[in-house]
Amino acid sequence: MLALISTILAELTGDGEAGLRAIGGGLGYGLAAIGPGLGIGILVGNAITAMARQPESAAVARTTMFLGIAFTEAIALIGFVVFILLAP
Amino acid sequence: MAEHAPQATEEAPTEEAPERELARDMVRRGIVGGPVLIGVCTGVWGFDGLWSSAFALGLILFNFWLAASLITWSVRISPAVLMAGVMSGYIIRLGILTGAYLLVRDGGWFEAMAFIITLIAAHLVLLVWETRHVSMSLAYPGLKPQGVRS
Repeated sequence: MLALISTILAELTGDGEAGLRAIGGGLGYGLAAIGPGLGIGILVGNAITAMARQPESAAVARTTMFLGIAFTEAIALIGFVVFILLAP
Repeated sequence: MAEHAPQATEEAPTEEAPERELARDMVRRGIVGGPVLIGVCTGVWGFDGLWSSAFALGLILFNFWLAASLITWSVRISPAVLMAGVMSGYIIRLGILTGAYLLVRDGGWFEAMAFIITLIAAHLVLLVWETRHVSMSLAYPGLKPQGVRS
């Protein structure tokens, strides 16, 4: 399959390896962004539940939520790094 | 008849924005500690490393500030808008990072390794630093209590 894609890309662009690297970088970035997206969704959903149940401790929930979002996003940044390294 | 007891849910919304305080702390620490990272990149990659590292640090600090601003803005409206704001903010911020990289990658001054190392190191170090600070001041998340030295 990869050989077929490589051949098609080589015909289209004249450089099959560069095409495969571009596809790999894009796929890596996209796949790496799915996990953090799910994680942030779960995290914010639970933070909203916590804020609704205990409005008096909303500040603590928001603090934890913000830090959690930032930590989760680090995984997407690693996908971004893979994209940079693979992009032709 | 008993007086109407105020419910927790009826409390007036407070104007505090802990995430903005956290982001402000992170930006301040990034400005203070960032030059160390930029200096290391300059030592290894020269002036290309300096510009690339400073650019990555600026992007990370802007990323934190934007995330906090979006949360502060959306949490005032409703939980549904908070959810939408955080999720769309995530996509928008990744888009800004990607767009900024694509914009400068062909520039003669751009050094990819310095950019990558600063991006990951600054993000993680600032986060760990801030988390440690928050853990030390649980009573006032994101804010160091006045007159108390930890």
